[in-house]
Formats: sequence, C-alpha cells, structure tokens
Amino acid sequence: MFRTLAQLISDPTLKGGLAPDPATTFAIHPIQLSRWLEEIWAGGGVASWPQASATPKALGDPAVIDRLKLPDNLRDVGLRSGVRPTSPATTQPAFAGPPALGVDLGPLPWEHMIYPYLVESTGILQIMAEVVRRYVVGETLPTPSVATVAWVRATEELFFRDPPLFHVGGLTSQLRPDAEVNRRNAYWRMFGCDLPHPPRGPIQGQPWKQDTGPGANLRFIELWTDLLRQVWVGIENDRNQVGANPTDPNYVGYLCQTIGELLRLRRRGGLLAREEFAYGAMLSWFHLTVEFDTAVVEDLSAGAGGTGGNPADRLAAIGTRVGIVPPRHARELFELADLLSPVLWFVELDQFSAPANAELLYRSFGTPNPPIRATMNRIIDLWQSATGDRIKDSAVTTSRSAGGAPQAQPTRLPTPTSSTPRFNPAVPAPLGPNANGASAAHRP
Amino acid sequence: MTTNQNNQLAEILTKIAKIEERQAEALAALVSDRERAPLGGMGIGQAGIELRFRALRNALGNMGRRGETDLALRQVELHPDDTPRLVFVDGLPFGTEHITLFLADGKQRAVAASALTGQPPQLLKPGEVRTIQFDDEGHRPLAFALVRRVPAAGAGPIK
Repeated sequence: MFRTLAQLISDPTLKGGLAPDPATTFAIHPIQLSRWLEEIWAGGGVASWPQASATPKALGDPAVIDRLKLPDNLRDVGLRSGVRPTSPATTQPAFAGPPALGVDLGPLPWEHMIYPYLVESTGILQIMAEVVRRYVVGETLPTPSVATVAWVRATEELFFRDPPLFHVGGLTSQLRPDAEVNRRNAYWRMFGCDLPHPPRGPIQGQPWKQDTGPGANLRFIELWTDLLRQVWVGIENDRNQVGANPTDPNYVGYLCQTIGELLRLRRRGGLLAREEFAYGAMLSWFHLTVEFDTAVVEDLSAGAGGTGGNPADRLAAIGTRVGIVPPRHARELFELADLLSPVLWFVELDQFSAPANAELLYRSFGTPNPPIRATMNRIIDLWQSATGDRIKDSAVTTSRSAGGAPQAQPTRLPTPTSSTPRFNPAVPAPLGPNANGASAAHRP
Repeated sequence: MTTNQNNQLAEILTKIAKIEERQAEALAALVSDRERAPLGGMGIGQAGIELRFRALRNALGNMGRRGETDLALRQVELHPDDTPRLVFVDGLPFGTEHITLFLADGKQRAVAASALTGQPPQLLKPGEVRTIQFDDEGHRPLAFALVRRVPAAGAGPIK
C-alpha cells in the first residue's frame, strides 16, 4: 500500500507518467500512516471491484471489511489520517482536510498475499530490521541524515512495536505474540511454503505449522508450476498453423479453478484478510525503501543509479553493511511479487477458470503484446530463474526421458510426492552460514 | 483509338476506381478499429477480463514503475453538490456508446453515452458509483475508471 501511496503523492489520479515520491511518503508522521491504512481498509480493496460472477468471491466473504473496519464517523472524523502531502515535502507534511489521498479514489486494491511472501523471501525484513536496530542502539552505521532518522522512527513505530489498539493491523497478542511466526503461519496456510531463511531470534521448531490442522495448501506450488508449464505450451504453440497443437485450454482452466479453490478455501469467512492487508502494507514499506535511492539508501552508500537501479542491488549493498547476504534471486523475487499479485487475484476470483478465459493467459489474439500473456511470459522467465525449475525446457526433457512426444496433459492429475513442498524461492541459492543461516550470524 | 477500345479503357478505369474505393474503405476501417483498441479474435467476455486486469495493475500503482505505459484508467469525478454529478474529466473514450456504473451496493446501472450532457460530459444523480466501464456500440469494453470523490466546498468528511 505504501508504494501506491508514493505513486499517489506524485500522481493523485493514477494517470501514469510520473515517478513515485518515496521521500514525501517517509516524511509523513507514522500515526497518520497508521490511520491511513485504516481508511484504505474501509474502502474494501479488491472486494469492492466489479466481479464477473454473481457470487462474491473476494476475501472469502467481502462482508469481512465492513465487520472489521472502524465505525465510519470515528474513522472519518476522530481518527482520520489527514494524509494529503504536497510533493516534494521539504518538512513534515501538514495534517490536511478530508478526504485523504487515495481514500477519495474509488476502492484502492491492495496486494495479494503472494506479494509479502515473495518480498519477504528476499531477506529484506531481516536486513532492514538490523539497520533500524543498529541505528537506535548505537553508531555502527554511517551518520544518518534527518530524513533517515525520521524513516527509522516511522519504521520502528509502524512495524516493530504493537500497533494502536483496535487497529486492523493489530495481529499480535498474548495468544500469538511473535509477529514473524504469525507471518510464516499465514504464508504456510496460503501457499504451503516456508520462507527460505530461518526466523530471527530464539524460536524452537516451526511453531507456525502447529495447530493449522488440514488448513495448509500443500499442493499450491505443484499446481502453480504445472499451470506455468501448460501456459508455456500455449504460448509456444499459439501461432501453429499446421500440425498438432498440444495446448489444452480445458486443462489450463481446470488448473486455474483448482488453484482458486485452494486459495479461497483458506479464506472462508474472511480468514487471513487482515493478515494479507497488514503484511502487504509492511513489506511494501521496505520494498519502497530500496526501490529508489532514498535517504537511508544514500546514507548507507547503497545507491544503484536513481530510478533505473534495481532494489536487489540496493538490498545487497545494505546487507553487506549489517552482515546479512540476501539470496541471489532477490532480483527475480522483487519483480515476481509485482507480477504475481494481480494474476493470483484474478485466479482466485475465478476469472480464468472457463476454458475460453484461460486462453487469455497464453493467446495473443493477433495483437502484438497482450498484457496478460506478456505478464505470464515474464512470470515464467523469472520463475525459472528464481527456482531453477526449467519450465520452458520441460517438453524437451520429457521427450528425452520418455522417448516419445511430450504430453501437454498428464494422464492423471499430479499428486504431492511428500508432505514437504519442494518449492523454495531461494533454491538453489540458500543463504550462506554467514548470512541468515543462524540467528547469531545476524549480528556479526 | 476505336470505340471498342474506349469502352474497354473506361471499364478498366471504373474497376480501378472501385478497387481504390474498397482499399480506402478497408484502410478507414483499420484506422477506426485501431482507435477502438482492437480485440483481434478476443471475445467480449475475454476483453472485459483483460481490461479489468489492466485496471487492477494500474490501481496497484504499477504505473510509473519500470517504465510501464499500459494505461486502462480514465479520470472521472463525483461532485457531491446539491445535485450530485459525475464529471468525465478526460471525456469519453473514442467510440463509447454504453457506460456501466458499478455502485457501492454491488448493483450495476447502464447509461447510454448519449444521456451525458456538457463539456466535459456530465451525468446528474449517478448514485453511489465506485467504478465505471466504457463500452462501444457492440458492448466491447474500452476503458475503466475509478471514481474520484471531490469534496463539496465547506462540506464535512466524505462517508
């Protein structure tokens, strides 16, 4: 959400053409940002977008928004955010009259749960947490500018202490006190995946997997990888004029339907909606921090060439300052997070389940670069690079091993090979022992 | 040149003129279709999904990142004056004939483009509109809009 806010500050109607303004975003007081999140939640996000089906499917039950939001008058009068900064901010932005930026603009959607999972898989949270810790306990990092001090204060207030009581993002309590365990629990339930690095601090075992019952989507990655393979078969054969075309829109639609059902199963009654919103907002803050040469990036001499630079390069440079090495595939993970979020929203909303609609994932329809197919093609490239799973080579591999023509559709549906999912975004590049391998190694 | 040759020449010239006429028509149709954002072999339902996908990406803030230029969102304002009105600040996309208003209660309201008045086009008493879709005469989707609520002068907070 904070990346969207940075975009709105320079481009209040999202008309495009203007670069986001992270400096002004970080200059806003954290209590205003906290309240702004409450206002955006009340807007309903993707649950308020027009749905193709008569039965609303967003967030498990869209009524969860109304039932968990602050009462309208309390939110809009007593606890309003006043976020409407002018760009660029040279001082702390003033408390503006209503409506707040973005709150006036339809229902602003927020990122799918896959976004925080992939961004956190880059190790960004561990690295930036260590940066904040070092700035607040000592002077082992270069002297910060005032803008960096403001960023450190806002970051600590917003994400490393309990949020204000009754806030929609209040996800720690006496019953689930560890925020990191809570996030891992949400990722595990939704995608059947762990983060590629161990948790910070002394956590015994894997408490995030306890008491989830049957509620973890262990088949997600397997089905998703199969979907990518089938989509690639479709892209590869889209222009076939003669000969057999192994593309099977029914199977692609079936895979989308199955993945959508898996994801919706975890959301029954609106479960995980608050977690998705809060974790997406949190990771977008850190993503925004390294997306540009912000004050903290420059103070740590981790610049990567202005707006053209890559967040993974900045993160790696910051990581060397605090002795934590991000995975080699952080570059792919950052980009995948942006691309997968809208695709998984649409899969979950059943938009690609019909065979005719599934064709959108791979057919060009005679147009040069249709956006959905182009997005899927890029996702396949990045997924291959990040996981080492050769999606595009699968047909060749199968042909060599089986000695026959590759099948686009398996004769039986795939089943899990073990209870442990094989996906790991950082594989084959696990963090080294001097990086996130042990908690003691975080603070050399 | 004989009369017979003259007749043949006239016939050839007429045929050439007809061919040129057909080419001009085809070119005009092509240009017109381009302005309407061609769907290729895409069905109306598929085009609707594609449009909403592009709009969702825009609304997630992807404009301005990595040089992305695909813009599906139009600017529409809701002015809550004594008589609430929708103001289509960017005008209407070329070829718009039908407008669908998606309301806060989940219902839809269809409006003919010809029902709009003024410049920029306006619609009075639109209801609690959240999003809008623009379609051409064949109900092919053209663009999407998030409605921006403009506060009335001296009004309190927007609910």
